[in-house]
Amino acid sequence: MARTPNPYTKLGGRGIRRVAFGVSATRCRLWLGEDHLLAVDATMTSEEYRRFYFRDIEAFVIRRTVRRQVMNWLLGFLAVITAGPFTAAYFSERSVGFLFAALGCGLFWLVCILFNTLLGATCQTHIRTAAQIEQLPSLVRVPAARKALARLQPLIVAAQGQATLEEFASAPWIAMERTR
Amino acid sequence: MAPRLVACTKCSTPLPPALYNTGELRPCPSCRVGLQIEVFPAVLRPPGPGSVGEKVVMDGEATCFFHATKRAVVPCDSCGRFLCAVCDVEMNGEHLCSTCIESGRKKGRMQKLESKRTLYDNLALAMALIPMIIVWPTIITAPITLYIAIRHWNAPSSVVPRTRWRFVVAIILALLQMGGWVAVFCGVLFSKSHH
Repeated sequence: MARTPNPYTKLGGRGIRRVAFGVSATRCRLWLGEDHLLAVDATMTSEEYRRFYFRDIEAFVIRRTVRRQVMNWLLGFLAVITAGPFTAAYFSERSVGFLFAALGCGLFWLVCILFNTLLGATCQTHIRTAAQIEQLPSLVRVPAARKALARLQPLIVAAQGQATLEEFASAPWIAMERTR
Repeated sequence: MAPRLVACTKCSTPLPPALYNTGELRPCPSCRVGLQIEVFPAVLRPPGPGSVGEKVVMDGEATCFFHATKRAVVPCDSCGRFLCAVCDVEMNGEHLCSTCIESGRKKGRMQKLESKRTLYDNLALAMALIPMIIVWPTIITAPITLYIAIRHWNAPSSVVPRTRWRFVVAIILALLQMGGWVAVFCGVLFSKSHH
C-alpha cells in the first residue's frame, strides 16, 4: 500500500516553552500544513499540537526583547571569571601555559558572544486569532520570525485576501475603540 | 464587544492602525518596546452571531436527532442523522454531528482534531538509554524496551514527518543489553561448572 505523503513542512526556528512554574520545559517547533500552521510542543514521550488555520489568523506580532544583550553580558562575565584567574597567574608566574589557557577560555566565550550577536536580535512572537493570543516560543530571533512570516504571509493572503490600511483604520470596531 | 484592536504584547496598550503592516519594528506608543505588527483581513470580520436553531412550526418537518423540537437543516455526512443548526459542526466542508466527531477523535481517524500523541519511539529509546547509566536496571528494562518497540512499531507516531530510527536504535541497544546479560550468566555458569 502506498504511503500518503506527510502534508507538513518544517518552518524555521526552535525554542522551549517553560511549564509548571519553570520547573519543566517543552521543545517547540512550527510546521506548515495545507491550510494551517501547526505548533508542536514536545516532551520526551509525547507531543501536543495547536493548529492555527490561515483563514483565522488575525495578526502576527513580533516584539523585540533584551535577551541578546543579557546573554552577551552573561557570556562576557563567564569569560572574565574563567580567563581572569589564568591571566592573573600568567602575570605572576610568567608561564606560557597560563597564557594559552587564558587565551583559550577568552576565545571560547568570545566566539559564543559573536555567535549570539550574529543570530540577530531576540524577540517574542505572538499569533492572534479571534479566540486566542498565543506565544510562539520557537520564533525567538527577529530574522527567524521575519523569515517565518515571509513564508506565512502569502498563504494567509491566499486564504483571506488582502486589506488596505484604510480598511483597517475605517473598521467600525476600531473607530468605536478609539472613541473610548 | 471584546477589544479587537491589536494590543502591545508587553503593556497591553491597544495599538493604532498606523503601526500595522509597516514591515519593520516600530516603538509601542506606551512602553516604547520595538514591535512589528502584521494584521490580516480576518481581524475585520465581525464576530459571528451564533445560532440557536429554528423551532419546528409545521407537522411533518424533519427534526434534529438530538433536539426533537428543532428543525433539521442538514444530515450528518458520516452517520446520516438529521441535525439542527446547533448540532451541525462544519469541518473541512463536511457536516458532522458531535457523536461522530467524538468517536472519530477517539479512534484517531480525524487527524485535525488530535491535540496529543504519545511518542513510543522516544519512550523506547529513553528506556534503552537511561538505565545504561547504572547498568543493573537493563536486566529488566531491555525486554521492556524490546516489547515497547515491537508492540508499537506500527502505532501512529507524530503527525509531522518522523522516521523509525529511534525504534531501530532502541531494539539494537536492547538486544545488545540482553546479549550482554546472557553472556554474563553463561560465563558465571561456565566458571561454576569448571570449579
